[in-house]
Amino acid sequence: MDILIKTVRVAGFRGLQNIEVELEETTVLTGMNNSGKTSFLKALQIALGNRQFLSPDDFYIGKHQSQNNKIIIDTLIVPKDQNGKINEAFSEKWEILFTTDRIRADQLGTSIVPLRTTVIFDPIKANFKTQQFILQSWPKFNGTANGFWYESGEGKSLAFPFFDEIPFFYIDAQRDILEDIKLKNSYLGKMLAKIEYSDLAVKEIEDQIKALNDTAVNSSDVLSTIKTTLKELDTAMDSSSDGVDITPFTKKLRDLSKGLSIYYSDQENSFSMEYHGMGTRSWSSLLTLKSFITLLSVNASKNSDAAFFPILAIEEPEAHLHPNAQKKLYGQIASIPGQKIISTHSPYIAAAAELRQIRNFYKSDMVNCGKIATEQLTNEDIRKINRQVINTRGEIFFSKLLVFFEGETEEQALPIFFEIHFGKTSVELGVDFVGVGGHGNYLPFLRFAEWLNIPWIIFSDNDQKGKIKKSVENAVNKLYQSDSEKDQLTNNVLFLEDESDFEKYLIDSGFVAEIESSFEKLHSSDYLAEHIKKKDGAKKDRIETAKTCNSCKQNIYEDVLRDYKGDEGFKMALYDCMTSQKAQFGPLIAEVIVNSGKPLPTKIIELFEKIASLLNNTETRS
Amino acid sequence: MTPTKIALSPKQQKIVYAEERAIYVKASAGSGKTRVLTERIRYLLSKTKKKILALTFTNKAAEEIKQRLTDINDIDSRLFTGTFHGFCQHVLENHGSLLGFSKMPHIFEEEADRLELVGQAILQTPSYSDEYKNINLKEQQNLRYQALNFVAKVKRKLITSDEVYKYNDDENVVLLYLTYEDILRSQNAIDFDDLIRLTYELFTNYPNIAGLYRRSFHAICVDEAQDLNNAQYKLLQALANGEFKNIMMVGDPNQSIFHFNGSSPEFMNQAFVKDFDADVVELKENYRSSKAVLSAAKKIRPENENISDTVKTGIFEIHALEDEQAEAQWITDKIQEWLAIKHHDDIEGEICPEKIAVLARNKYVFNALEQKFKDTGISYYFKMTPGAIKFESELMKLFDLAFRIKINPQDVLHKERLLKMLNCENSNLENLVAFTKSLNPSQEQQVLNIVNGLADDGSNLKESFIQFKNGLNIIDENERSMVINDIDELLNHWLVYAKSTDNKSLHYFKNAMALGQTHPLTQHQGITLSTVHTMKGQEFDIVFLMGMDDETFPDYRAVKNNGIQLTQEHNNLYVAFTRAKRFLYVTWPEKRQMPWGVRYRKISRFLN
Repeated sequence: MDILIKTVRVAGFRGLQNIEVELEETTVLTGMNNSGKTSFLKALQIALGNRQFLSPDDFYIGKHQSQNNKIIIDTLIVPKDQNGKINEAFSEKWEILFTTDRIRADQLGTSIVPLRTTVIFDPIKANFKTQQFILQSWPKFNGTANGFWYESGEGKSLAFPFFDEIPFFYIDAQRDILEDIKLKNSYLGKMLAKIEYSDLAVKEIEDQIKALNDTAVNSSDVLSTIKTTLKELDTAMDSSSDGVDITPFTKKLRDLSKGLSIYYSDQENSFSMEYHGMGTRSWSSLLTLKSFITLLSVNASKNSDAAFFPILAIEEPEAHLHPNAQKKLYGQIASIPGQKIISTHSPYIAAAAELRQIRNFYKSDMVNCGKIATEQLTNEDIRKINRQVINTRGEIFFSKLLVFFEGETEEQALPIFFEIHFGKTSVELGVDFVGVGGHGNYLPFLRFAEWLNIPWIIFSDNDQKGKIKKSVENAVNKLYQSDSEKDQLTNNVLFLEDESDFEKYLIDSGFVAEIESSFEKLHSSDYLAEHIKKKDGAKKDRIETAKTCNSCKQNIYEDVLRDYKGDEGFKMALYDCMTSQKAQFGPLIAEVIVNSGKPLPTKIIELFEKIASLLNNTETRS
Repeated sequence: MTPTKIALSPKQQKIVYAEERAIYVKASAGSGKTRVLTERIRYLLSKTKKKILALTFTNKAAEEIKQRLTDINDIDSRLFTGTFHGFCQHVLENHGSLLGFSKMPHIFEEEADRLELVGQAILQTPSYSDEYKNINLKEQQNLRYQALNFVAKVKRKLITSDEVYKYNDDENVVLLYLTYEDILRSQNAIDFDDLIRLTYELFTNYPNIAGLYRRSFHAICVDEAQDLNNAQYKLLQALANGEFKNIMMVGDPNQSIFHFNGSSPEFMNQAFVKDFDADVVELKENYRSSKAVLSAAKKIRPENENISDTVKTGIFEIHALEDEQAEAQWITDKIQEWLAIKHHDDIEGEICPEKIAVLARNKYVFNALEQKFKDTGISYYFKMTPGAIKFESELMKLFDLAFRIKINPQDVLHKERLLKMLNCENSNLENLVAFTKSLNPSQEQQVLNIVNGLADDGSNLKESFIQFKNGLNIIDENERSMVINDIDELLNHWLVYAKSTDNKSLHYFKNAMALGQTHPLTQHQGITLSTVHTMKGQEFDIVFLMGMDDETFPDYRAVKNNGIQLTQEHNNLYVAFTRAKRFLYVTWPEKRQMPWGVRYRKISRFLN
């Protein structure tokens, strides 16, 4: 039985003004660049690991206040059983380690260790004073008598000196196996220093090395000549030494690891690590850490009394790796003993994690952390989010703003319009356009965005006699709990004109000529005329009538025929063509409209203005 | 007391290495029970990684156990030794927040304080206040004592404030009790009995906390278990919760002398044996006393002593002297005689003043002797009752009051006293700093300034007082030396406290003083003078027991009340006798000079 760091709160550190993050056994931190993921990992390091990196710049500088003079980090440690479930009490070895001085109980009597770490900078002595406390209880995040959690009393000052039992490993993005081999204090270096052989093995290996050396020297004229020449030394020295030895291979076993090199080979060639790219080197470095921790863990488990639970903070493990390798990484990290917190920009790693393990950092007026409330979801809901959101659109973990809509044409066309309107690509501004694939599919996407604190807009069709509008509103309704939330959320939905979808809206907005020209470009100049001739009067659809069949009592359906005559008929023909060829047509019509020099359709302008205002909100507030 | 290899008798070994279960060691005086207890702890510690809880009734006993085990690595983290109150304070500091204490409350340890609070409670309880106002001072004092007694009894029954009415039909009594509690709480304070009661409440309301402590201890040992009272025993039961059996109680039913707090040897003798299914082991051997002393003790408790095992012959004499002066002279001569002889076969090493003690039933019996000691230049010291310092000088009494107010600004009681002391009863003491500024420059103001300037962690306490001492300007030499003595005493306490912790705070210092944990245990120089009560647990090679005239020992009040009080006195005498390891001299004056004339006395009824 083990422990778990269940909650971490940070106030006044770097960009983190006041944040709470719940942790799992493996936690994956997502979010844009500069959203505070690394700061969070570093804060954890202050609480549990080496604090030498601290500098005066690490104190939070708020917009409305002068520099904070205190960093406060609260960590809540709870007991956990083999299955990862929270227990009522710590197991014996942890109770003995923590002692009753550090174990507190919550109101239900469940054991906790509420550890507070504070850092104060003394500007006169120019040094940092770090202090640790065991809080009397775990305060509410907001709502203690004094205000926020960090305003609650500190309790008893007590060291938390468990660097052997709860070692903290920080693996930063700049890791390289080559550096590790050279550095004695790298994990690899530490392991190599501990290599031990039995006496028998030492003799055997050293004998073999001697034989190897002899063979090598004897087979080389150069070496044997050097050896013979050097023997003359004996005559000059007044000693009875064993003479000169030339050893191409190291003579003593203990020197073996000094020249250690690691080769990684595919079927044909074997290359030393020097010749591999950063990706392989970075990955190897991570795997050596894994073996180091596994070794420690094996040693600890030999003694059932020994408490051991490593904490790993891993920064961007995906650095330099190709997508397939990134996909494997998560599993390799998750299987390391202890608790892992991974910051990533890789959709593949985010996708490999379980939904409950994702924490998204989002920076608006301050950095917040969102999580997916999987406990409120059915397994089917979770499958939906995985299938529809994560597996297909993993990049949205890193979005600044999400625009949802139904179909493919929008997905193709909107980014092109966007660039014209803003003068920057949507990617540059962190805006993602996501087609949800049908009006019934909004909910999982909305939930995802809401839980992860990512702002969103729906740009919705409005055809089928209000049915779609209703379906979208239903999805949005499921998100809010209060009226104020309702207003805010419904404000995020933009509907096209009544009885329009995106294609119809373009036709009705005076872009008939542009659409015609797109089809000419896509096919040929007489494509539309041919099409109308061929399909006019053909069966299009069947619709239900009020009449019922006498024998089976079911409604009678009547065929609807295409009528491409006149102006309206022509527009209908255009519409039918557009919707049947969305994929090719989408980007093309956007190009044509942009090139026509006409102003963009008003609804699209309206959408972009909404986007601009939401972006500005976060921009100006951050 | 040096932690050298200790040779244990077979009987002692059997107890030290006994199977781990509930054991009651019925040990008579001098059977080496503290040694058995500490060796048992040493043995148990070698078998576990957990802690051991050793509960005692005095800080001194706790300190002695720890002293004997200092050779064990990490003994400080492996062993919790302390009094029941100390243990409870520790638990409440860590887990009191579950009972709603955001911060450890202040402990009102002094009876005088509690008497005053209960006086306030009486005045605020309508049915009592009228009567109270109309009786004379002495009767008022009596009523306060009775009320306080009632409060203490309720608390020792572990009854919570919500339940008091269930146990008392008299509404007025309940109201008085609740008023007292309100006054206490409004000053963010608790009294001594609350420590145990609140810990009991914590353990019973939060079984997981009791479990946490239960699991943190491999074994529990209780020293001097004859002094257990109901609350303490129930607390142990709550901690053990029927699962924890590895408890050893060591005690001597004949040495039970704490009856005033509801203690009884029955808890160890009967309840423990029954509730915990404890093995009973007797330890009767006597390694400590001489045959002469034991024979004398046997006359007081015939059933008790096993004289056959003793080695040293020793001396026991009773002398009747003409009066107190003659008695004092005789003792002084005898002491000088022994100090001159220097050696005796019965006594290990040189005979020196530190091996000699003079005991008496109360401290006024020593008046004549003290004068004689002064005249002849024999050095001596008074063994103090453990506990907070009792300042003698007015200036330091002022400090004590201001100090309490600084660490507990809600302390109305001591605010009033301070104002009274400075004759400023009409002033406002909302804010100590502002109040200090309003005073005229004076020594008093300086003292208050020191208090205001003290850092919360006490880091400037020593420095402030040393400066103050050097600038002290009091014309009366006696008063000046009194202030200096008081300051030195305070700094001694601070030193003991400061050495004991990394995490210093004035608040914890005050609480530690209240619990007597800061009492300097350094060896004093000279002959020890002590009352029987304060001498418990300590022995001397040569003991003089003076003032053994009837109605001095036994005390005249016990004679008047008879019954349990007289039995108590009988036990006290037995304890007094067994403080002597080798020589025991008992003296009594045939007449005493009273302010109203000479009165003839008889020898103590216990010695007839």
